[in-house]
Amino acid sequence: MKKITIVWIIPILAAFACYFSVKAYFDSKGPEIEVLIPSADGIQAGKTEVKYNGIPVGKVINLDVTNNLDYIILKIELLKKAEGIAQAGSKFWIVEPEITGLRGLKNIDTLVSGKFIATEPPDGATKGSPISKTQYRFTAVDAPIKADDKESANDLKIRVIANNAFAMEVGSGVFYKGVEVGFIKNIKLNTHGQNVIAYINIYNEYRNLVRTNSIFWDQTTFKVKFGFDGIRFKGNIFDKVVNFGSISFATPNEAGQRIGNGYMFNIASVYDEEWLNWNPTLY
Amino acid sequence: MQFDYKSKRILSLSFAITALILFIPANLEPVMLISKLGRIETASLFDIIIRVYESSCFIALINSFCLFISPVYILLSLIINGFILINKDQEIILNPLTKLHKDLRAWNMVEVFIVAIFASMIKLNELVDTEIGSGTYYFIAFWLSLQIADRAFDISDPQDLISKSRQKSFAYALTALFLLIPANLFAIMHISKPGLSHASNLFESVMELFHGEAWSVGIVVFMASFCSPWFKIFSIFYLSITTSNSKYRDFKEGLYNFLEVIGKWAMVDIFIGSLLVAIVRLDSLANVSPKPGALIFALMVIASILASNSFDHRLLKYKKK
Repeated sequence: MKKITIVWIIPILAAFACYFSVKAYFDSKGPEIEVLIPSADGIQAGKTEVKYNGIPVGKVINLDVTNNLDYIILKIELLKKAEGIAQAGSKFWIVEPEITGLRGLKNIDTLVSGKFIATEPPDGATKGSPISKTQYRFTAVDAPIKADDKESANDLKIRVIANNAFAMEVGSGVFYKGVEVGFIKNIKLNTHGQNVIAYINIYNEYRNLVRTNSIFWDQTTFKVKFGFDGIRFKGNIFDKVVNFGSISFATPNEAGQRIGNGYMFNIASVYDEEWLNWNPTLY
Repeated sequence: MQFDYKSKRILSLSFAITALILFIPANLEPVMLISKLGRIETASLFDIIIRVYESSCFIALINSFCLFISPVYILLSLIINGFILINKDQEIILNPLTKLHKDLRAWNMVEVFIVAIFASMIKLNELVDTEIGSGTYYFIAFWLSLQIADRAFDISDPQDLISKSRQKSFAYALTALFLLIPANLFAIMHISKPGLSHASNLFESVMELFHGEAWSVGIVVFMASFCSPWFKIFSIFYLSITTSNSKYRDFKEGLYNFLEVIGKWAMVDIFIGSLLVAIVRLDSLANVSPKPGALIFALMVIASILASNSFDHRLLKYKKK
């Protein structure tokens, strides 16, 4: 009988290493889910990541199209730690570089890193309440607007009625004397389709600036004068260039009462330079 | 053409000295240049070892062992023994130093590195502009002269058979198999470039070579680093189990010789990775970093080379008594 060589220790160690590393590999794999998106431009199988608050939680592993060719199906492999995302109520949206009017560029990093898919579990999951039903197929939603980041429960929420919304944009600022004091949270048609209603949040610290007799205007509110010396624009031209899509307001020197949530204003149809000279003391 | 010992010695010594001279520029001259948007990066073998050391000490150690220490030892052994034996008309006697020379032949991977340079150029083509550096030409010339010098320097086989040879090589092959499984699962390297950031495992990183036009290099690397480990491990299982069976003896000998040749080529993917890590350092434009899979894979290659080295091929020649 031959003696056994000491070399046998090495494959035994390797067997342990193999077992633990393969186990760790499969443990780190979370569930596979599917997300329906309208277009897969710039999405690459095996490369596009799924991120939650900027942290990678999964990866697109396959692209396919639904039977009726309406949607693209993204097969996504989640990490084990992100299992909670595979549940009813999770949101998925595509993050891509964006130019919002002339106000801002968003997600510029995606120009370099490529598009990615952002996700957010339903509120309950993050607050520790019982996990709702597991779900493996989702439909992508529109990116939650910037308003979501900014919204605070203490904001003053008012409505402004306008004839049209050609010069308003969701997410744009609301200005008082050129300072951003709020933003347009949403724009909707009224029930009869005659007017548009802009839902505006005024930041809590500025809520005193809005009074019952405040006047709101947007960039359509300016006059064009035809004279012998050509066309002359009257209005907040500077504002138009810098802050396209925004709304401004002013409050008269004899300021009215403070207002509460839900108060409604009409947008001014005729612009008056006098408004810029108003200088009330508001507190 | 039959040489006598003396003319063989002189041939060996002259090419060994040539190789020594070529070795210096081969190490210091850049093997590759890349440029992107006006930024140029170069890397010589020394740069590669130092830069890889920053991210993975072990991979740097393997690089320096296979591309620097082994060739240098073989070179010095050729020159010193050549001068000692130049006037002696005899075979080269096996002593501990020449035995080490013999063992290190399997670890001298200069030719694998040369192929890795071309393969990594293909990989980089879509990312940056690549250009071959003068170091590569020195490496090719160095490898040719070393090869001629070493062929003419034949060391006699040891008297005794390697003890417990079959057991040892079976154990090493088993080790390689256990390492090969995770080596195929985990990511080998991480590449980030504009519009893309991803970690690729062995299979994916080999498949990337097929995207371009250079199919031939893709096939070489695919065979060398993806197929050859499996083939080698199971061949060694077969050889070590059936050693005492004298059937198909010629086939088995041929198989063993083939395994000796292909063994080192599995390292090609590690060298490609090292080259990419060392040279693609363009910050946000492009970056490559090694991942744990590379380490496991390198360990697997080491185990498989140990397996074929510890198998005594003479067992196949002798009939069992």
